[in-house]
Amino acid sequence: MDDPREGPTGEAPRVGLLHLAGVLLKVGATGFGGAMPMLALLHTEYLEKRRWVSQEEFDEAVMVGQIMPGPIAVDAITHMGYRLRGWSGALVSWFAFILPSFLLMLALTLVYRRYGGVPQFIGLFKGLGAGVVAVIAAAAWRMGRPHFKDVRTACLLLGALLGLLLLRINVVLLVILAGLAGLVLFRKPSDFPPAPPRGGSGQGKGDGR
Amino acid sequence: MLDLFFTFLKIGAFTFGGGMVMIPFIEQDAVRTFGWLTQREFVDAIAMGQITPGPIVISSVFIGYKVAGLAGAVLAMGAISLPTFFYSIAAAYHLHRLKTNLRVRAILRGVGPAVVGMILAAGFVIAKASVVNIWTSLLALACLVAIVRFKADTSLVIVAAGALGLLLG
Repeated sequence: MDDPREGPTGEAPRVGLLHLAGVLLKVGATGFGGAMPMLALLHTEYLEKRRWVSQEEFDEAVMVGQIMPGPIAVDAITHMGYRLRGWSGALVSWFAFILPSFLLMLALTLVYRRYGGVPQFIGLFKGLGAGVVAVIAAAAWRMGRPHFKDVRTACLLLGALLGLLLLRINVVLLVILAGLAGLVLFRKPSDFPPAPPRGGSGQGKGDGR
Repeated sequence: MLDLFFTFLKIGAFTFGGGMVMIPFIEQDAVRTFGWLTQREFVDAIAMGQITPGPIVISSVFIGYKVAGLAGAVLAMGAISLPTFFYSIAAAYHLHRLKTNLRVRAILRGVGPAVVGMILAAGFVIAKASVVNIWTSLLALACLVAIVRFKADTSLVIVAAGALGLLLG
């Protein structure tokens, strides 16, 4: 697997760019609810329906999404696009995936700017705000629980929380400090439970979106 | 415009751990440092990002539009997604090393919990702005139970919360 563009089997048919764009427009327009539901959709479209990638390649793409900065699903589809069709595959995937939500969000923005002050809208957004708080709390709960199994990760979590809330430490600095702390704290292989994160088969428990 | 571009590029480059992590970054930069948005607009932008399909980074469209119209919206979305694009391709060449390198994993093991702490911090700030009376507290609690306990779909929960707000507010 020296050339990342070659799939491990080599038997996969060449995927048309238009076909790829069509599938991603669809996933981009219907992928509600964050990273994990979107990955499940991608699993259906890429693997179950079309056999564009193997399970192993799909899991690797999910892992790339989790390791690399940025939204997990965008990382994963760009990575798979690159492995399927090189730079043009990556570009087409990236663009087609983002386009539907971009247009929808733009439309919502225009509506909001026009009618945002109308009394009914204020009630609506009060409700939405309460919903957002719940979604963030739920994500923190899901993502955070495993970190309380180890004193060091629990301290890093609480340290970042307090550093940001009380001291207003810059977020980029905080990420860099946490990475350095990781280098110092985790040196033994036993510090890394169950290998790299997996769970791309669509049933993975959500962690982030 | 330049501030907008570089701020979102930076956010795109550092949000390890998925789109949710973007929330504390945007809160610090767009609300506190540059004052592009009020706290209220920020929460509303995140809410709209949740009810649209696709990743929640899409909220950056709202911010970009407010700062510089349509061009700002395109710029913000492009800037925040650009690092993702190159990271994913670079990953294709270093996949094997990424998977096995203990240093990479040590760094990520440090960043992972910190990022959750940051999301929690942003959650507190947002809660202060949006959970303001009894019915918003009850609603937030009910939504949390629906998501965590009953595995309800997050975008449905948000839409339901908005509909209730329309009735009650």
